[in-house]
Amino acid sequence: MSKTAPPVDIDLSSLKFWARPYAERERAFHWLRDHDPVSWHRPPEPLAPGLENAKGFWAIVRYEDIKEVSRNANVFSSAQGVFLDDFPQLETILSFIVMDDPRHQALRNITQKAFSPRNIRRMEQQIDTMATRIVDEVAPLGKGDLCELVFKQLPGRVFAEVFVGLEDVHRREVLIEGAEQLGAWADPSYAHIGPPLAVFQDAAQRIMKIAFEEADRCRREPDDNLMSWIVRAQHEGQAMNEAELGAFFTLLVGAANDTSRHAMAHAVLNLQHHPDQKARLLEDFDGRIDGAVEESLRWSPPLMHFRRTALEDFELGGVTIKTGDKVVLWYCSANRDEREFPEPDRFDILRSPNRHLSFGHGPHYCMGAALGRQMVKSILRQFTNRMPDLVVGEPAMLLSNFMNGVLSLEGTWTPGASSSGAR
Amino acid sequence: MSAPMSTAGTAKQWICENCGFVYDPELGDPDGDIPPGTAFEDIPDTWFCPICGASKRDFVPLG
Repeated sequence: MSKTAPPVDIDLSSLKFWARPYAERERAFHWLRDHDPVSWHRPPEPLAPGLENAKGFWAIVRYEDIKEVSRNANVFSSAQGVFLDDFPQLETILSFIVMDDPRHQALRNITQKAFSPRNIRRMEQQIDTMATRIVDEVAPLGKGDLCELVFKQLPGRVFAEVFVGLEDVHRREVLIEGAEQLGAWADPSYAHIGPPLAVFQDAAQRIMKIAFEEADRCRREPDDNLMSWIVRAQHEGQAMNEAELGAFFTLLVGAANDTSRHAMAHAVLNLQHHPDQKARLLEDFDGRIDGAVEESLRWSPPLMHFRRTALEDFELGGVTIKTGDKVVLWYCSANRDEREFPEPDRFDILRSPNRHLSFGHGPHYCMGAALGRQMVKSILRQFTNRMPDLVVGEPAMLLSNFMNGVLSLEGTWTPGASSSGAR
Repeated sequence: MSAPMSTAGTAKQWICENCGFVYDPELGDPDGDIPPGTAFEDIPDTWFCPICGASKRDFVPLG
């Protein structure tokens, strides 16, 4: 493979790289896909003093290579961490995503059914109704930060009310704000709490307090909700101690809330940036909304990587990955791989097939994928019907090598009435 | 007690190209009304992947 000079500086270990615009980073990944698909990188720069990373890592950037590593979970373990950065303390709070089978699958099975595509299809009307209520509150305003007003609210309310049965608004807000803080541990806006790890632990503690209270309630009054399932599973052999129960719930809160809000923000932005595709969607909303959501997820994956650690030597792309090496799967790169996606830099809501890797692949495939997709659909439907002239400004982006996060997105629209008559 | 359903000739597994879920005919997909022992070919076309929701045509034979 010829090693021509890359068009841009490629240093995935540097925070400066992650401060660049997404399109510029994609040019770097494009070069790696063509010239160095399994490349070695120095240890990532620490996010804060005391968080130094000891080891370098392999960057896997081609679609098929990422699928191969993801499928080989016996060789590529999640149990030694799933982030580019080493966060051993943090990862004790991440429950089954930092476990391998069979324990990973056993814990996942407890709630898998609740998030299955089949169950989410049954819940479609319920999620649409919640989206309608939120837009009832927002449509009359005419302007505001859609992240605060809408994108945080829908996943937060769906998770708290539908899955957990939490009706208390204050405690629901604790979960919503906690989820945001979990995903933004390195963001300067939380620096007053302390270093990144303290930011994460502070959020996790507040979420776990609610987890333990809800677990007690569900032991006293079993119900048909997520926490009741978790508590029941404790008694059916999938024993989780209290700390594990807290971690399991915290993971669900973080995963259900944060990635979905970013997916919604990106969907609105992507359609505004591609007016021809937005027009195509509006010609046949019901027939094309699924494709529009998939293309937005391909274009702007909310999570850009997960990491594995090799448990044995493995040949990939002409390179020997050694036992103990860190292997980072760059989903953001796979989604633009021309070997899988014809004209990958064209945003096309009719693209088919569109088997992007935004939800991962293999045993750790995102459990909440169907719920996330449905919430993006519901919000786009509401905006299309109720705020049709919505215009958004430039997003404020999170500085992260992990989360492709939108911190705020100001929008303006003609103030509208409440829901009567809206679909 | 009824005899266990035979799995002879139905052991071929299929993998979802979208998410990597493996359909095992011995297990079926009871939540999707596919009983254990059902060969992939006998699953209705309206069935979808229980993990990611991909359609039946997104599956390929494994191995």
